Amino acid sequence: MNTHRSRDEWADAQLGETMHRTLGTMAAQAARDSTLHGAMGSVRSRVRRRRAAKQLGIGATTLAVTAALVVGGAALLPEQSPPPGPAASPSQTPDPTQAAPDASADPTTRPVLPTERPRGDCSAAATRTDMLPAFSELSAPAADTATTLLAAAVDCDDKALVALSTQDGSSTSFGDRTPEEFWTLPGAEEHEDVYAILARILTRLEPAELPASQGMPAMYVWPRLQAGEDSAAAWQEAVDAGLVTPQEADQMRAGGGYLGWRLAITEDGTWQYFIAGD
Amino acid sequence: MVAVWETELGRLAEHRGRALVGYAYVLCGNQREAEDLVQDALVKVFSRLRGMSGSEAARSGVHPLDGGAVTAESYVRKTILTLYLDGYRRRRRWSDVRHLVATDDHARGPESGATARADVAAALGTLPPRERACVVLRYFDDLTVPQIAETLGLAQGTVKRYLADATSTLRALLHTSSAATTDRRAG
Repeated sequence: MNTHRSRDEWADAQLGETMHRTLGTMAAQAARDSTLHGAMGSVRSRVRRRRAAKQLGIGATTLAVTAALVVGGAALLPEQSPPPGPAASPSQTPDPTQAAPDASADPTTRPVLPTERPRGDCSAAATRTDMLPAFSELSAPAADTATTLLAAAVDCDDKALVALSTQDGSSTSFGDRTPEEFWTLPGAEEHEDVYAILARILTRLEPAELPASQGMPAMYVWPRLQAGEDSAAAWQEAVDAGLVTPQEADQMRAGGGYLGWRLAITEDGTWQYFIAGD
Repeated sequence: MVAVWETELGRLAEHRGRALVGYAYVLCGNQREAEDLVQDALVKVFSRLRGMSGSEAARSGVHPLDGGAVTAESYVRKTILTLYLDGYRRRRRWSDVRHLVATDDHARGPESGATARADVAAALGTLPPRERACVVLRYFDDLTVPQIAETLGLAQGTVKRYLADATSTLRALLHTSSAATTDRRAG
C-alpha cells in the first residue's frame, strides 16, 4: 500500500535523469515520424466547420433571446398598447423549433417534438412522439441536448446526429469510425438498431447524475448502472430497454461492470458519448 | 483575405507541429494516437471564437489568437493533455483495461539506446494515465510539483502520490530489466 510511503519518495535522481533523457529521445523520434503536415488541410476544414456552426448557433440564440425579450416586454405593457412592430412576431424568429414553444407553459409539461419534419426510414421511426419525456430532472442545457438527440433519432435525421456528434466531439466508437460512418443511414443500422437504441435510452430510462469529480464535469448518464448502481432492478431496466440481452447482463454483472449501450450528457449540455463495449 | 486564425494555425503547425506530436507521443505512447491528439487539440483551440469564457479570460488574460505562437502552443499543449486524460476517462476505468496494455517488463537490457527507449516506453505503458501525465509533466516539461498540480487541477499531495507510485513502478520495472541484463552478462 502507498499510504505508508513518504510522499517525497518520488524524487529519484537516477531515475529522473533516465526519464528526462529517454522521454526527450522518444519525443524527438515521434516528431521526426510526424505526418501532421499532411493532415493540416483536414484540420483547417474541421476548424472552419466548427467556427461556422458556433457562429450560426450564437446568431440564432441571440435572435431568439431578443424575440423573447420583446414578447415579454410587450406582455407587460398596458392592454391598449399593441406590441411594437413585426419584431415581436414569433414567426420571424430564425427557427421556430429552436425557440421556447410557450413561455407560459408549465415547465413540467412534456415538450412536443416538431412533427412536420419528414420522417426517414430507421429503427426509431416508429417511436411514439405523443408521450415524450420532459427531461425535467436535467439541467436546462442538458435537457435541450437530450431533446435534440431524441428528436433527431425519431426523425432518423442522420445529418443532425453527425453534426451534433462532430460538434461536441462525442465518442461513438472505440475504433476508427467517424460520426459520418456511425450515423449515416442506412449503413448505420447494418448491425444494430442504433437509432432505436438511442431513442429507447432517452424515453424509457431515468438518468443518474454523476457529480463533478477530479476535473470531470458533472454529467447525466443512462442507464444508471454507470453510476455504480448494481441492483437487479437497474440491470433489468437495461435488459427491458434492449440495451443488453439477459445473458449479456448476467455476464457483465459477474465480470465487473456494465458495458452495454450507454449515453452521457454533461451538465453544460455537451453530448459526451453514446457507445457500447470496451 | 486569410483569417487571423488560419495564419496562426499555419504558423504553429509549421514551427511547432512536430514538437507537439512528440509531446502527445510521450503522453499516449502511440504515434497514430499522438497525431490524432494534436489534430483534435488544434481543432478545439482554433475553433474557439473570440468571446472567451470569463474563467478562461481571467486565467490567461488573452485569447490564444491574440497572444502569438507561444500562447497558442501552450493552449494546444494543455488541450492535448486534457484530451489524453479525457480519452481514458471516457473509455472506462483504467483498472478495467490495465491488463490489456502490452507490457514487456522482463524485456531487453539497455545495451542500446533503442532498447532503453523500448524499456522505458513499456514501463510507461503500465502507468495509469494520471500517473503517466505527472511523469511527463515532471520529466519532459520540467514542471515543479506545484506547477503540475495547477496544470492538472489536483492537490500537490495528490501529485506527489502519483509521482511516488509512478516512480516505484518505473524503478521496479526498469531495475528488473537492468538486473536481468546484468545476470545475462554474468552468465
